[in-house]
Amino acid sequence: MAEPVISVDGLVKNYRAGVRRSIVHAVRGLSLTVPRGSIVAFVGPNGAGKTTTIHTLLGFIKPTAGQVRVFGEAPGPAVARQIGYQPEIFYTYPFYSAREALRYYGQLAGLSSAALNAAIPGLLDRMGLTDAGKRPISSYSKGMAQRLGLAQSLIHDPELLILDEPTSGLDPEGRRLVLDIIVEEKARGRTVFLSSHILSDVERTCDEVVMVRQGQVVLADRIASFGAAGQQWDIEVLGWTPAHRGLLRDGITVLQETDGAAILRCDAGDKQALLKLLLAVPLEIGTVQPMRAASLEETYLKHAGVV
Amino acid sequence: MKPVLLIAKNAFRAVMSERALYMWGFAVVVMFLRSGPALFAQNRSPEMMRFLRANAVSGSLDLWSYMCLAAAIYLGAHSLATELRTKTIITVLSHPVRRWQMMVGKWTGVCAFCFVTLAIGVVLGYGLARYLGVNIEEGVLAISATRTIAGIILFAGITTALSATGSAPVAIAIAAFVAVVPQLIQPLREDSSPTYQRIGAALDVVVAPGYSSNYGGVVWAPFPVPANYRGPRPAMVFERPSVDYDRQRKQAAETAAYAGVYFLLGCVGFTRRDLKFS
Repeated sequence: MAEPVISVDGLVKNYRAGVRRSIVHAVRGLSLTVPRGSIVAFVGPNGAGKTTTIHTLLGFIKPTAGQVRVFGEAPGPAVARQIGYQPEIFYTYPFYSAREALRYYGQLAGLSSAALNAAIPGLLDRMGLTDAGKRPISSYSKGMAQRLGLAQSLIHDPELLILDEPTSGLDPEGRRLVLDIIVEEKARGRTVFLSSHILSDVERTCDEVVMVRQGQVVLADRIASFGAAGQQWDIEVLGWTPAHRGLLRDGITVLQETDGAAILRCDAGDKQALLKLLLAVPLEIGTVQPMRAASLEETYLKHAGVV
Repeated sequence: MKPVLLIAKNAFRAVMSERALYMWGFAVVVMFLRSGPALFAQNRSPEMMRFLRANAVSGSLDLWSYMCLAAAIYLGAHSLATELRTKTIITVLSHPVRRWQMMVGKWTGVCAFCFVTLAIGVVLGYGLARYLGVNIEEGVLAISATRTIAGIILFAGITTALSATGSAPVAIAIAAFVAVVPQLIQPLREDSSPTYQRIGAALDVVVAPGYSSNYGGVVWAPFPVPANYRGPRPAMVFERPSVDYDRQRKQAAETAAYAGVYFLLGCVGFTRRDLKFS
């Protein structure tokens, strides 16, 4: 397994809030790893602890308990050079133009003037902001500002991209552009940690997903495992009575049974034999379909407690 | 040092983008109004005209210095508080910038703006003096400007450090407290109550020396007293202000040192605390 770029182990973050200074448990023992060269989605409902976790990775917040490692080190300015961060809303100085903003953030990241002169035009072109490069940012639309936010996270060519809702507020064209850039960065060997509510974006771009709820990881899995056809089949049988149960071999289960109909589940290897058996009875066959794993959205809604 | 200078430049530019030119224009108008009696007085005695001209230049410089201090307090108080409120600090600190570097950069930027403002005031003061035909005592001006610079460093330092809490009004209130308290120390120390004496002694250690202006001696002329005048004769009007250069230099150095200590405490607090954004 590739060395993890991000490693969070048992992260706990408690705040005191309100007049009574009561404790808020923002994160409760969260653990996750982000392998090098992968795109890992970080999803969960509002208030699940995503931003707190991201801010801990950036060193803005100190953990109450647990360990956070980025490139094997504690978060902070020492590792920040290898991180590109795009906040959910790109907050910057309205008096700058895009070129000036990129120059400022690039200089803060330690880039020389020559390197910035070479990088800025290409980056503006990649984000579709060349024509607006000299305009004050105060005149930008939300989508333009978001794309500029992504540009500033890429200005120093970081190893790790932490993107918080990068497609929020973008039109379909801008959204596609940003997702394409994320995939391109992965192809260049970069690691991406992507927080998003747009599950179709996650399914399209990510390798893995980490789902959080109430400050805890409720699911961590590969994206490919959601909605994929499995090794089992569901067969709808009409004219079914409970007496027909005696016909079934081991490994065949009755999923649903109503008067006159049933849904049977069997392994792919048993499908042909079961169909022959049912037709020989004779029973009428309704639908025959491979069993699909729950989609990412179904799984998300289930874990979010919606369904 | 590079991040500090970049942030200082950014802070300076942020102030300039907030219509600082209008602020300077307003200050020039105030300076002009303060010089009005000397500029427009007619049919006065030569002694009175000498007094009015001297008073116009020294008074204008004095007023300008207080505007510089007010600017230091206001801009320092809003420096990091605005960054926290608008969340621009998130993008800055996601780059390899330490929090203390951000604070020092902001402090430097605010001080630089106030120094430039003070320099403009001094140039205008020279211009006014030349126009009115009076001579500036350069030694007194130098020590006065030094005290103002130390005051700018102090008040910008206090307010920048306190603005890291996110509240500009709190920063301004505490800076105003630090400005006023030195006036109370002497009376407290001389009070008959041992408690007040102890409070006075404690404040003397904790609080920076107060700001005292010496601009009154930059250009001076006695107030022409009518022959039949029998009223009080306050020294500040009738006697040329004397400047103890060594004491002034020492106080300026002490003020700057206190600024450093206050600022350091602010840096420690800002570095250790969580940055929470709603």
